[in-house]
Amino acid sequence: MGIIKIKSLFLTVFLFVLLLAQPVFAASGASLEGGFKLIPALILIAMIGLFLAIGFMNKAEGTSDYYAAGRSISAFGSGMAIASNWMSAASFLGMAAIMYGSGYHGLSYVVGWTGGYVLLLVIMAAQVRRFGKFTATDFIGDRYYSSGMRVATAIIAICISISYCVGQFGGIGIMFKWILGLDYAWSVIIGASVVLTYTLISGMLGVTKNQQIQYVILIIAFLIPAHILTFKFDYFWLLPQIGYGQVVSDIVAGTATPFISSLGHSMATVPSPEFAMPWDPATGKDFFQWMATCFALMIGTAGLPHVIQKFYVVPKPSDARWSVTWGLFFICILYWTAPLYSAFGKILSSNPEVGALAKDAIVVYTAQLGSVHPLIVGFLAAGAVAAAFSTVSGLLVAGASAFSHDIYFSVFRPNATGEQQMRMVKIGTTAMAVIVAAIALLKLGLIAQLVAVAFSLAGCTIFPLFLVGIWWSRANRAGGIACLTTGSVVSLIVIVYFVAGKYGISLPGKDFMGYWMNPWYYAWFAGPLAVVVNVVVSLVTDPPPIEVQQHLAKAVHGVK
Amino acid sequence: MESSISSSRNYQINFFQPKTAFLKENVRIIVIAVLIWAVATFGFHIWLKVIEKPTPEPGYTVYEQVYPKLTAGTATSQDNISIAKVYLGLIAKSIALQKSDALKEAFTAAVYAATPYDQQEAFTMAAAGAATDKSVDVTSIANLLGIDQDIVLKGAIPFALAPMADKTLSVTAPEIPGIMDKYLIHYQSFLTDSKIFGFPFHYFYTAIFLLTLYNLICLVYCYVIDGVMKKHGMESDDE
Repeated sequence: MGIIKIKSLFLTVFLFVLLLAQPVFAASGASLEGGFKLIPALILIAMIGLFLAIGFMNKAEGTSDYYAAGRSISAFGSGMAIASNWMSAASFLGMAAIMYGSGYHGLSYVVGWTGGYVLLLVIMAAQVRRFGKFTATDFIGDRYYSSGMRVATAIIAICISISYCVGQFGGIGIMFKWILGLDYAWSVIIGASVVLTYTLISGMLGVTKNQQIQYVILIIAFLIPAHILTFKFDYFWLLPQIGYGQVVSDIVAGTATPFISSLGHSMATVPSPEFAMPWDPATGKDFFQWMATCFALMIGTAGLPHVIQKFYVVPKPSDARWSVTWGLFFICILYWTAPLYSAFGKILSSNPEVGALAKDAIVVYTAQLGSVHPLIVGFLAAGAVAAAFSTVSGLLVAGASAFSHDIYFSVFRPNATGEQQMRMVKIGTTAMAVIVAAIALLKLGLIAQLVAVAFSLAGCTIFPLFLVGIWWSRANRAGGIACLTTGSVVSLIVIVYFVAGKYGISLPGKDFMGYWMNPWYYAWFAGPLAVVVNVVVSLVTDPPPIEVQQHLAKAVHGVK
Repeated sequence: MESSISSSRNYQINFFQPKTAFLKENVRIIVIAVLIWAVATFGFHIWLKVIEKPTPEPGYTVYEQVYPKLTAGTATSQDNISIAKVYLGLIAKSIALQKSDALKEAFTAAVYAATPYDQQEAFTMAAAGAATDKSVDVTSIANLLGIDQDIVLKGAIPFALAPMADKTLSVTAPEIPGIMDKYLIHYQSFLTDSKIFGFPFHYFYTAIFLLTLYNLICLVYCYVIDGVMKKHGMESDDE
């Protein structure tokens, strides 16, 4: 009760600061690029301060709290935390960016990142919770009765977290650049430092509770401009998620409206069916790429360690199921809305005088071009940073957990004290943040694309291990090792081709790899391949020990 | 030994061969949920692909009629105006095309060819000026093309002009047929042409309906599986 009161107090103070800031901000004006923007900066600082304060109130006191929040979160709260953890810079900024640039192809990300939850729910969520372990790597280590598998999976989990975080740090960099007018590199470094400090202080319990507050703030920040845009331009504003449909049709038909953008341009465009038509040649994306991206993101969603880990923070297996359902609903509130920004962004920026805009910032630019009040635009930008922060903090914890719990504690130092484990968690978190920031500085792709690499990696390593491990008791250690090796080797080859391509090195078959095994969606092939390899190798080797089969049958599938 | 094999068999779990009553029911529910999920997502898009037809924009039809005449050198002034409007529409569509020298030069050449002789010098100066000053007066060009009331196309003219001081520009270029195919042909069907709540139907289906369906699948699954668990005495509250 006391905590709720304190949170309410913080929220009230935060909103009061916003109101006080209005007159100052009204005078500061708005520009699409450059320059230090005072009030968005203040909103951002206030928002981070709020998160840190609440994190401090819920400070983790032991490893159990740090890893799994003491199993004290309700399904509703966990669902909100799943949504907050999920609604990253990729969702907040990246989806609209990819739809703005690639039209209907971008919807494969929307569908992939939500449809994966259905798979997650029906084949994994409660089963994983019933298996009764702390982390995804615990599950794999026990199910495949191999400490080597545990270590290998922990390394994969760390790679997934790093890949996922790179996109988030990119988003943080872009928004810090917009708000503070700083260089991209400095923006990434400052953002990384702040999120690292915050994660180290609060740990998982604080993070999870913060994530509920963060969800509320960032969804409000995302929805308000959507209502304003539809209202201002005379579309159906009460439900902007439906109201923007006419904007899409206006873009297709090239209908001119009587409205003017903040830069004084008419809100009109030439007929642009390529924005909405499926796999339009003008977008450079085809049918196969749509399907492959969608499928890869779906199986990747069901294999992300930091998402699976959320099932351990609920008291009961049924709560794990309901937390997925709540989580999906909270996520969809944002995902139903994200295409609106790409549609308004498309029509408002269609005048050639606007020039090329940074796609990853199109959400904020759209609000600016639509003459949304600068205070609300600032709030939106701060929300984007909060989205990245909430995800990064969860990922750093997941990665550090894998490092400390699954490698250090479980394999190398089984008798390590709680204090030693906590120290390793902090070292792991710091090391990951440094690595991620260094990679983010290379600017290897759009936010959504960088994050999609993590999904493909999860989709061809963790997902097949869980899928086969849960639903086939015959799967054994040899099959698991072969499965993980297949997924990892394919991933490594794809990444080598990608990095080589980025630096102008031509490898044999690069066109084939670039199309069929693109880093954004290679799991469409590698995922099913890893499943087949697991099954085949398991069949030609000895069955797993009876204890493993017994635990799976009794604990997970209720065999008496 | 026999007992060990027997107990091993008792604990065998295979999704495709569920043995206990609970597993059979659970698998049936999962299969139904995954089937709905897969058909709704991938089935719909396969259908969309199967029934699509290449649908050219009106500009493409103009291009098909006029471009051969331009290549053969038999185009009239009106042909040049028609193709210039097509080129201009493309440049207004895409920032990438605003950087296409071939297209800009072809547009400039087409307008030049349609411009009355006594106005060609003024046009040349305007084209040169547009390279540095996008606020150059393009009223006469808009009037010539008959787009003076079209704010979008008129606004794009300064971005479509290429300087022509020291060279003869061509109204055709090897890149242009490829650009036309890429930007002016779309793949449409009744699913893309129908409207629902203002959306093209397929767009609504993917962006709104599929997400709603996923929520419904999850909701129904949770209710159903809770009942199944209760029926089979699993997942008690103190678990």
